[in-house]
Amino acid sequence: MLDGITLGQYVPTESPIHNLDPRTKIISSVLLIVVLFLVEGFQGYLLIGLGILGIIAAARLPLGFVLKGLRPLRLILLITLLLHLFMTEGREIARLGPLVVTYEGFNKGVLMTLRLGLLVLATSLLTLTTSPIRLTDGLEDLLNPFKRVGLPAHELAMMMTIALRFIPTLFEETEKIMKAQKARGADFESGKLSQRAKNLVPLLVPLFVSAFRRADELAIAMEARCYRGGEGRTKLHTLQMTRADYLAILLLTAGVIVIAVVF
Amino acid sequence: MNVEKAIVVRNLSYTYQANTPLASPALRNVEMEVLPGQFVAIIGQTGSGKSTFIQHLNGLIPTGPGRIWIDGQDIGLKGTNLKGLRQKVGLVFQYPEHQVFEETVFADIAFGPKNQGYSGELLVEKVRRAMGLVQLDYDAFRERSPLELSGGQLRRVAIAGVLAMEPSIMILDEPTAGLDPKTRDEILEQIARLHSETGMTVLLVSHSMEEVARLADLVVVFHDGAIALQGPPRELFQRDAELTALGLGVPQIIRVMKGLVNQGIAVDTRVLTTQEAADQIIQRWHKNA
Repeated sequence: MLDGITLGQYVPTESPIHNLDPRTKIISSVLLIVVLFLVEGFQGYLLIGLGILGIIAAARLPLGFVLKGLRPLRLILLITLLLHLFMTEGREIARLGPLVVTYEGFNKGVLMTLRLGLLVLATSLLTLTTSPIRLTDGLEDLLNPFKRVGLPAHELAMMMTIALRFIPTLFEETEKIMKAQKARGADFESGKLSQRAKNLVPLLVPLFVSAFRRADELAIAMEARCYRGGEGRTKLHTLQMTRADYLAILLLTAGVIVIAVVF
Repeated sequence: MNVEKAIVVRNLSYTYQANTPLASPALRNVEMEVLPGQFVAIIGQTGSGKSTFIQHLNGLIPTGPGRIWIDGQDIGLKGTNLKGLRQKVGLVFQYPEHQVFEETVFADIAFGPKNQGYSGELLVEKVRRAMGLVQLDYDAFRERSPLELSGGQLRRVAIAGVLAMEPSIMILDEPTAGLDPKTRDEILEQIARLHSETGMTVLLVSHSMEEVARLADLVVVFHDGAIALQGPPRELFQRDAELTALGLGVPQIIRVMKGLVNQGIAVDTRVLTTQEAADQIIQRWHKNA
């Protein structure tokens, strides 16, 4: 059941994109997100879409696999489209009973759906090509300047690392418990919604118990290794920006400015 | 076809996360036949596909291209009654105590039969019988919270939870993992007794040869997702070189007997227990004297 989730999964392959510094990729994602909100026309989205396709190709990721990341969001995308389609006032182009489709609504709906879809694709590229450890390393480094105003950058990054590290573990655990209960005749797939919700209770109890147990054990293991926060801590792998990183940021910034100004 | 066999597996293969860059094959062309009432040990290193294999047997993982018959019924067919299948094939997962979730021992063991639609007197009867089979006193444990029980007791509760559904085939995935030697022996003893008392077909997954030597009629060795060797333990353990190459080794007592043979003392190496070995050695001694 949980096999099909590709959103946010790291795919370890060799590619120029994988080799970029995580900071480069984080900054690039932010730039992409910003430009997605600045652009208002189809041509702009077309260019950004092509850009993202280019990055997917450079990252040697199968296109179908990346697009599958949109599947969990298909309902949200559909609702966005429909809401804009029917709720925007303007010139009428079609009518479905009391529902009126307007030219403006059509435009806006398609644009919004595109914007959302591209947003998800752009951000999923970050996690698809960056291992969680490198991702949080990069984030910690980027947040460092904010330490002066009291932001616990290291602790935030550590929390994120741990959270990311345990997502697959919890998924696995859920699946295991589900299977054990299916083996005892539990039914998670059919029945009324209320019944299905009730069937989840036996799933959540052992899951929570084991999550707390894990958290406890992890805390003890960390203390046993003398973990005491980020103060004075050095890194095994220090991040290093290379020429490729500067080039990538430069290219992307240029592209983003052009698209933002022209469209 | 295959009516007289409890389990028939033909050409079973499985790949985790198939059609993605993360695909990893877990089973390759597995073929197996189990007779009713047989005690089968499934042995293999971690990651050899044992657990994936047994989850096919009660339909938790769909069969795919291969085919599986349970009591002569093809379980890969559309419209197979999965609930019925899971009642017939009881599966106890690794660390089953982690899956105990109810507030009392009774409620947890009753989970399975309740899902089958039992209630009232019949339900109580089923729970009582299951607890008897794992030698937990019904009146003493019925109202206790699982949190108060020892590891061994909790594991028995978990096993009883599956037994309460009265399966005709019982599969246990490393039922002794993480237990101390005394509790381990008790649980194994329990399984042996269950097998002889109820005549159930038992599949026991393990990575310890010692553990299964005494119990199993048939040992099946998994390696890298395929069956590498299989046979009755007495015969299988003679192939110690192959087993060692698979990272498994043979029970200590067989190593001792082989050592004696290498020293020129002609004892029969086809033993399973220390007692049999001792008898062999004494016999040999008398012959020489």
